[in-house]
Amino acid sequence: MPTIIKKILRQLYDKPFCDHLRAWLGIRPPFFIRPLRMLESISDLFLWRVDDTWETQYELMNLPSLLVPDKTAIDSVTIIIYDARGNEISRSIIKLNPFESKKILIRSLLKGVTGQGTFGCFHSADSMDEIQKAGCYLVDRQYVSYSWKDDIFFNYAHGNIYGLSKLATENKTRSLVPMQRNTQVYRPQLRFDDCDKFELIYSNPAKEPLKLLVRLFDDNWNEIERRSSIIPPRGLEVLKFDNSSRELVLVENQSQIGLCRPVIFKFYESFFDVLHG
Amino acid sequence: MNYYFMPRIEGLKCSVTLSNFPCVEGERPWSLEQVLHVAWSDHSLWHVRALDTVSPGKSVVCTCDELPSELPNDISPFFFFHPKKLPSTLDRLIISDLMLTSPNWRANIQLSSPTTSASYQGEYPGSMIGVEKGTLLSLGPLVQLKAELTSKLILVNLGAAPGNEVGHVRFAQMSKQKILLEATVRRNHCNIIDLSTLNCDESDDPVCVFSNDLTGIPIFLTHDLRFTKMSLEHTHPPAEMLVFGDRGKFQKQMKGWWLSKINKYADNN
Repeated sequence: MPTIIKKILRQLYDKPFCDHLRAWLGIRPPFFIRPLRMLESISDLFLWRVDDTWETQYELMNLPSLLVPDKTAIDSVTIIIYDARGNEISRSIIKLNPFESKKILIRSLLKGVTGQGTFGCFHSADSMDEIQKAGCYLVDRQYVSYSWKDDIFFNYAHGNIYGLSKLATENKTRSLVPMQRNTQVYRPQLRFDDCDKFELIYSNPAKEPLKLLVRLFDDNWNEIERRSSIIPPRGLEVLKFDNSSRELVLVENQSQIGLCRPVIFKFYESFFDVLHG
Repeated sequence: MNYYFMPRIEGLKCSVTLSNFPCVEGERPWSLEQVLHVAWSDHSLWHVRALDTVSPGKSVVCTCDELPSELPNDISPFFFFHPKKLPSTLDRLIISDLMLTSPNWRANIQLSSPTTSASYQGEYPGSMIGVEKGTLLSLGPLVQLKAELTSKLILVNLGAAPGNEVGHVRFAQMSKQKILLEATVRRNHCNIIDLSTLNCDESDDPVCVFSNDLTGIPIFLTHDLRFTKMSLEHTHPPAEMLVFGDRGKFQKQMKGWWLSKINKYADNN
């Protein structure tokens, strides 16, 4: 009987409005809240790094035409780029023909700014009402690649965290990630003692500043080091670690958002690895 | 219960790091000791060997040099945790909710050359090994077709039933409506397909991968000739372009359209 009641209640509260209400009241907020308007397009919050060392490229694809291929739609994509403090740097609209993809060099959208930051890609096409009918939202969590500046070799990583939503007819973006009342702990299931240097990069998809605590341990979970920071909304924090002693083996982070997963760069003798924790 | 794979690629050392702790708190206790197993399939049975016992909170690195000597060179090993030591043969792989977490319980699958490494943080989800046949649709742009670079597709397939039956995969460019390559692959195997012979330029028309015969995880490895630089990343299943709602139903319709289209191109070619 309790299962039946749960099922009935779930049908009642399993609505976007209730996601927002739970987040606002702080009553078991979901990790991600559904936008109130079904035609809002969602994007992961991607990382870019562009300077004298780094280049970043994004594989922009006409996602509506891949999803609804019999309605060959032109896709109008808005790319919004933020700096590390979460300030908007640029906003560009790129049109894609059906099934088209384009390699976007992020440097070309930065107006001369260098460093690192985040970006989102928001799609809009006539065929998106088909997606809406299935109760789904289109989300861009495609592929970012990083290279040394002037190199031809790109190292790929896909998007990692649902971040923002945007309606094509409005300028405003909205966060999908509510703050959780309880501290959320995340531990990447991998080891860091195979390289001399590594970086953990955390972005903040929430609409409020994010307090982050990162703890580093040896193989027996004895704490060796800890770092704390406050990341502005849409901004990011790059934490660099020297591990020539190979003492740092395991990592844990604590924050008030769900699934706060870092992008990890590990540096080896001839190249780097990039992956999601 | 998830499984973890080890592609065997000439010139590279492969290792799999398995952690006996969940990535998020509260979903599973840390207190369970786990037996690390490796399994491989012949045409009628799963062969299983216990490799180690892993205490809670610990992680263990399995390298390709430490595989059981009786594992044939042309068969792929799959790793998994189980609380008890299992018999040396199984009729079917175990499907269970053991270690079911959100996000999934992952391992680090790493390919290393003498000077660099590339890794894939992932798993073969337990929910996929019950799929007896399935299909594959990968619409990703991860193939790097440049001089001096080599791209390979690592197509991982795993099912609960043993067997090494052959299936086919096709590579195509959608705007050009052209099949570029057909390759044979095996069930219960990390298939390595060299993409150097793909006859296309790196245009705005990405190389897509299709199969009517089996499902799997498509992972793209790109490297230079001496393995001083490597990139390793998987493409998403189509449902990952959607969130919330009935993604499965939408993916089914979409896959049907793409696979029928690709079959038409193949007939025309």
